[in-house]
Amino acid sequence: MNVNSIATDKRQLSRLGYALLLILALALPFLGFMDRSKMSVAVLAGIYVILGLSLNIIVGYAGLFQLGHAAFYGLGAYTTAILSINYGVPVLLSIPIAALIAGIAAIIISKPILHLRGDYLCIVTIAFGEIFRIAAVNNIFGITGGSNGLFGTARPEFLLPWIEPIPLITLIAILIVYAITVRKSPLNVQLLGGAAIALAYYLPPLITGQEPLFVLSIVMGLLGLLVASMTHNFSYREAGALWGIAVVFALIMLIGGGNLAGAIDQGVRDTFKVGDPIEGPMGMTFVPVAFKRDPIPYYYLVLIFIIITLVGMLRLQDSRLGRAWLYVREDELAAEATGIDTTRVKLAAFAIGSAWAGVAGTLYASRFTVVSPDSFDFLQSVIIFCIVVLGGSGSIPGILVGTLGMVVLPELLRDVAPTFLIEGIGPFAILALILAFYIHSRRQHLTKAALEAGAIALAFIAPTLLTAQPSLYLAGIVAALVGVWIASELNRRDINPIPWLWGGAVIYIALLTLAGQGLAQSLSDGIHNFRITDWRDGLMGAAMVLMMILRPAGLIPERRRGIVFSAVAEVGEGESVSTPQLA
Amino acid sequence: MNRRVLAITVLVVMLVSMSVPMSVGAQEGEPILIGLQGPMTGDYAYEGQGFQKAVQLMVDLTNEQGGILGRPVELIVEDDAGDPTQAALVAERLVDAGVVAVIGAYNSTATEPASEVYHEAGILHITPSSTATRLTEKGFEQFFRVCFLDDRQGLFAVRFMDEVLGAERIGILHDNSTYAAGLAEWTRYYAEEAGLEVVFYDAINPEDQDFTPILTNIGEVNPDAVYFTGYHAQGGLLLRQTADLGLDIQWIMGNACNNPELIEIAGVDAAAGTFITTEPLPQDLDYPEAREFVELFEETYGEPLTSIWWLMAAEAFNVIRYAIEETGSTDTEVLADFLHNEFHDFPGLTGPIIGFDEKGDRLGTIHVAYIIDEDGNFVLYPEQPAAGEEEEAAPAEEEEAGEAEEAATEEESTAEEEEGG
Amino acid sequence: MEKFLQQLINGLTIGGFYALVALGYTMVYGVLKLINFAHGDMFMWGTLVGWALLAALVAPLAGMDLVAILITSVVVMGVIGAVGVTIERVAYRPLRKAGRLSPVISALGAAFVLEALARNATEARVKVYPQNLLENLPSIPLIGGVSLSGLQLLMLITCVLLMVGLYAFVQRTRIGTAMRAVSLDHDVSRLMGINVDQIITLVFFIGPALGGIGGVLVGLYYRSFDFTLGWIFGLKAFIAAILGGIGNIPGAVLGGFVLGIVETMATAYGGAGASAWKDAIAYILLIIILIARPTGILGETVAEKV
Repeated sequence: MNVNSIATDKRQLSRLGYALLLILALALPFLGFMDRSKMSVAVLAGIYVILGLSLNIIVGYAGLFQLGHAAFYGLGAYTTAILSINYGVPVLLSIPIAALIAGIAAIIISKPILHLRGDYLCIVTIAFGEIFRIAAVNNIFGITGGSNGLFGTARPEFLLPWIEPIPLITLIAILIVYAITVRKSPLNVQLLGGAAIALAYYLPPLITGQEPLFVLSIVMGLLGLLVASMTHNFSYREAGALWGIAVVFALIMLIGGGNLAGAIDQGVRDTFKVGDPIEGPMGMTFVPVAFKRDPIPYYYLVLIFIIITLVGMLRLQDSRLGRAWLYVREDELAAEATGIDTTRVKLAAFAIGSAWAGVAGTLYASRFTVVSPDSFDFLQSVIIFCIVVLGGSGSIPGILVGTLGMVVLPELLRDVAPTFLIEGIGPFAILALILAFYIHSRRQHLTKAALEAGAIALAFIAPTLLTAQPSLYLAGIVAALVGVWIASELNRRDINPIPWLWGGAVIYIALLTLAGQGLAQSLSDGIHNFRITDWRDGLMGAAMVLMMILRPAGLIPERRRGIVFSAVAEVGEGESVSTPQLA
Repeated sequence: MNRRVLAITVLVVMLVSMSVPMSVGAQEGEPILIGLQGPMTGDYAYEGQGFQKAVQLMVDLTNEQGGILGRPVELIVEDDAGDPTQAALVAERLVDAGVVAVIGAYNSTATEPASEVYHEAGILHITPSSTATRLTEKGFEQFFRVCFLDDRQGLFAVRFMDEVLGAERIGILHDNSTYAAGLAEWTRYYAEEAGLEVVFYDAINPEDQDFTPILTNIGEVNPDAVYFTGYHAQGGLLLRQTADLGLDIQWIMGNACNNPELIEIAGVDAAAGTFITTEPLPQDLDYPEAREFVELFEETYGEPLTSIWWLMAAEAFNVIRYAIEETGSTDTEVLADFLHNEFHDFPGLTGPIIGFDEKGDRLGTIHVAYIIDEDGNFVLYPEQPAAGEEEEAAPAEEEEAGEAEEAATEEESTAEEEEGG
Repeated sequence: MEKFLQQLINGLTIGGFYALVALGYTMVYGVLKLINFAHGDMFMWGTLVGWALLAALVAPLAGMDLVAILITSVVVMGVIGAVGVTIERVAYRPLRKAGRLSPVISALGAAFVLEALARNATEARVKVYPQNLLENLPSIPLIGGVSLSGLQLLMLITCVLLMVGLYAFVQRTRIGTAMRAVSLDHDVSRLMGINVDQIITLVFFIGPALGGIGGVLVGLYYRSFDFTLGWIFGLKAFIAAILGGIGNIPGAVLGGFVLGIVETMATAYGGAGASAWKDAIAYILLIIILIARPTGILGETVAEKV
């Protein structure tokens, strides 16, 4: 097996991973345990995924520090809200405007500061984020509504797809995008694939006379686009796959026919607000359909944007610009030496990332209908930043994991008091983990390690046994961690930790047994009154410290693509500390 | 090949695991679920937790008396941390839980997205403390509030400065929160209407500690009276620094400053002689219902009921209870219709509720002026502006102005102390 | 003129506080080239610990305000200094060789932890310092109606004394010399027989200790605080440090006073609305200085090492 085949194998694996994820994401609203509120969390998480991906362009790809990302997110949200409330611009139409404004603002702002070094850049971006918030609070130009923000952004509206000329327009749009995507393939292959899309799109609804089936046609068209854009080489094989999909869809539509159309019609009326038909020019009719509060349509809307973002990013990664970012990130001087205009490249990262954050802002504004300065403050910037950095800077799966940790988990754990820390086998599992970790680190001296661990275990368990206060396990966890720390410090200095540990354990046990009642009570209260929202920032901070110490490249680090100049360059994450050894 | 099999298996398993959502109908003897949404954590946690205590106490009392319509009441509390995003999410949770009515949220920013959720779900929604005009402008027929709007307070403040203090040149200072800015705007509007000259109008940054620069500016202009519409933490600092600078400014402060901490921060010397325009304190309310409840609250929780918003939250529960009992129904439409049309002169904890107007706002107003005396107590000021056209609804053009300003939120601990100081 | 003088005094007072906190930033940056984001929150913890101690001491030491304040200040210096050393050990030392960005993220994390602890300790409420402390200090009348209150004078004197003391310590003592050596080059300092780790620990004691005492002074002067104090004040102080030239002790002091005066004058003469934009003015000042003269007012131009 040569190197190349391993690479392709890995690539296929990750493609399979993406496909599975996509299926899971598509099916999510229908899973049994998903209720309305969990769907709402999923929508919010989706918005954060887009935000994370957009910041990833700046932080992950180009290696620039950006702690004011929420400002551009907010800029998009405010743009949409203002356009919608004051000028009645439909939300979906305001997406390009929001992106444009956020992108232009990013170019104007970042141009003068791009030459700054990492930590200076960081503080300047914080300052910009704060200036944005202050401007919004101060009702700048009288358009931001002050500290309560703006109320009443419209929900997304679109025109019902099964009334002419919408299907035709949609088909043409899909075909244009398709043609751009596969422009590098031979013409006959292009035509073959395009024909599959067009036929499966138009024929079945016309034959059966069931116009609601155009909804399925559009799904089919989008799937076709997906197939075309995910592949690197659009060849006969992919065109064949497209035909396969087209046939399946056509069969479903032809056989399902009337029932399917009826179900779709009913479903649309249940989920959306269907307006009265509007007479357009030349005898055309349009039926406006608006979102309701129901999270499921939002979910799919956000999902579509995530897919667009992902596809765009995967293609950006390998583009000329993407490689230039990598180069700049790894070594700016060397990049400049090879003729890359580093300022422009960095500016492009800022502009694209910020514009995309503006799009996420639009989605936010249309989902929550309220935009207020508090939703785009420094904390939000840090949350987005953490999604990228803790998940794995530059790594797309890392961002998904980061969002799960930073957004989804706190929501799901909302009502959960961490009683497992003091009840059942929870404390023992924690103890076992701590000790296993410790003994593993001292595996050369197992007997000694066991003796040391014994003291820690005793200190952990004894107070609870003696006082019958399970909440003292909480103190025990702290004591065990301190014990492990003392032991490793003493070992490092060649001092035998055993007497210290056992002595400490005895004193600790005596103290807690004698005076632990009050402590036990307050610990128990603390556990039962624990609200994760109170501690979310603190836990996030602790995670930042821990991750930087244990896994500075993030939970799922980016698989390094190419160019490593020297061994030293790998030490700092994305930070060049040595002169490149250009060989 | 194997992977494809795996993928298909996963897909099949997922499809199988789909389940049909079950609908739960309300049965006899099953508890009536009432939702409470408020900031249990975050910057306004103090108010949210007070909501919970007050409403839970009312729920317990109700259950002791046999519940509503013979059914026990169960309170479901959700925490929105005062944040609009969270507010929308927890509102969905309450809807999922199947509540009949919801009390909350605390601040207008959180109430707004939540009210959309409840409106679409068709759930009766009463806010105890969100005073933004905009909230009731949307025509949600199941949305009500038991608090009063801020244009009334602005009018009262102007009449007080004009008729009682005889001020001619006044200053207005707010803190840029929408509540304070809205109140300031209304005050300016009514002041100009009353022929007072507004010689100073500006905002402070509530995150600041040091207000000496702006105070020095006010001293330079030297108005007869200055109305501060922001919150007590900054109000206290303003009073303190006024004294430190040796300036002679007659301060009048809005209801957000009605908190003993104002005097603590300022010090008694600096605070004495300051006027506060506000709803009456519980001990000055001559309503037996209020007194009893305040006493019971202290007995139960071992701490005084310090904020009028807690009382308003309990009030909201009473309104819901009364409506359900009178109509014998838990149907939102029936309840909303009852509250709009047949709900009059209810003996409320914060005074009789004359009724709700067609927008769902509480009718009437109860503002009075207090003065801080030499011992640091809030004392009802003997002279009050003559009761006049206060009940008169704001004219049409004012309402438009109000919309533009999005007047009014109560955001921070606008606390009313039972014992002033 | 009278108004100008009064505003100048106002600006100097707040500038003194900025300067005191800026010293901690500048010292840490000097030796580690690290933005210690947690510094602002350590300062806030100084206010918090000071508040708790004073509340406990006021009754037993009734009538001896100055004694209570002195005891409080000393304890707060010790406690906050220890917190600083601990944070350095836990969050920064393991990252000493990990490039430049990891420690910054770690510092930000530490700041969040400190702030969350304070939020829960105070239940997110405004806390008020004990009444009537230092109430009867005489105020000093200057020309016209302008006066310098006794408290303002006390604060200014304390700030200046601490800064002069620190400067003398760094310039005149052996340890101070070692500190300056470490800030120039860790490796060479080590070769000269300086225990670099000890010096860094010392810096992380002195900086937060000064910040902590600044916190007590702020609490005494403004009487009330909440847990958000650290972030805003910290950011402003950091701006002051950059303004003066980061890594430079007199620069931090100068930067603090300049920032205080600029903010005050902008509010005083900026017309209506300027007060609400005060923070934004500070940030804009920061951006301008970073673009135009990144080394600050007193900083020297040093060729950037790559």
